[in-house]
Amino acid sequence: MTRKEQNDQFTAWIRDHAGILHKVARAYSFQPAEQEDLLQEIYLAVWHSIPGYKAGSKVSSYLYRIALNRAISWVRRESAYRRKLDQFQSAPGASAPDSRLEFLYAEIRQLTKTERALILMQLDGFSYEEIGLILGLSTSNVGARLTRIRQKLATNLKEKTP
Amino acid sequence: MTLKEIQIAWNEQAVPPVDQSTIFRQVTKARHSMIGGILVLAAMLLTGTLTFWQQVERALADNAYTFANSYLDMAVTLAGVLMVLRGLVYVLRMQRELRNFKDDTWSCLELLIHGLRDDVRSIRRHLPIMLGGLLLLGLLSRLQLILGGVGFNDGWAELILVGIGVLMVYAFFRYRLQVHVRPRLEALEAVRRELAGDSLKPDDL
Repeated sequence: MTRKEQNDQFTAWIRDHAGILHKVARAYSFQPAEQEDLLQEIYLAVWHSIPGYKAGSKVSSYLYRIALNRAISWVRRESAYRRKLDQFQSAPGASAPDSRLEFLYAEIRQLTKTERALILMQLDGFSYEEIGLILGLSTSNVGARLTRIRQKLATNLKEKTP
Repeated sequence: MTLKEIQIAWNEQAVPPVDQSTIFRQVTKARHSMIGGILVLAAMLLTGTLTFWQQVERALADNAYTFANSYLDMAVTLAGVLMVLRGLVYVLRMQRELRNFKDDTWSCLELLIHGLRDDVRSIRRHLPIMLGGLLLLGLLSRLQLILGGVGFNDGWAELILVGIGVLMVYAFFRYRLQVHVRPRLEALEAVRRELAGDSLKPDDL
């Protein structure tokens, strides 16, 4: 693959699938600046992974895999951010988020890294088999975990929805 | 908020505007800086290796250039070459990791953890051996000078300087180990344990 072909492929993927990368970066970062940093890292990983793409396979699945792997291995002082977020959420009057979506993302960020990966792909309509292939888990394992995560998320959202 | 409402909210989210030229510029800049780093390290490695080779040739050819008065040049150059080589390996590994993000999460974590464990091993075992060897060579050379009739007080200053340098290098790497490498390794191992869940026995980890 020539450099030009790689650049063209990169531009096309970003144009068509930017939403996937943004969703992952948003779910795995606790502050806007951190989200930007993570997005840049994801873009770089995507660019480097273009030659490894096998024609015919699903681009969205390939990009999800790269973005999630980059985000999961993105180690910042997350515990500190998480504490800040907890303080923010427990503060009086702070339970009114900007929108339902922001509220949903805040709840997703409370999940563990693996749980976040599972629920993101589930929300985006990936099958258990596809999720299993991306994460390296068995299909039955994915199903069992997702059932627990959905229950957990629904309970949390029911309790906290303003 | 019910599960159905969650799904609706998720599907309705808008994609933020994407400035492709900025993204492309950022990626190109990151790539160029990585390539630049590799080239600088490769140039340093070449220079260091050539210098070391010249020093070895001189020590073999020039009788006046004994172990005692050549140790510092040779050992410091060799230590420098080894450190640059390590740096080069580190940058190349970063590139390989970038390409491996296309693999499944489990394999990807395995590779990252393997690399970080390699870093820990290098700092905890290989670096002290290398730096200790450097100091030992220094002490031996002083001993050779003293046995050769040079005054006991001569030449200790440069050995002390090398000792301080060694301590500073070691302190830097220990700091890096405690602040960056270990926390990252522990975080990634925690994710791997979480990913393994009940699908693997602890022995498999």
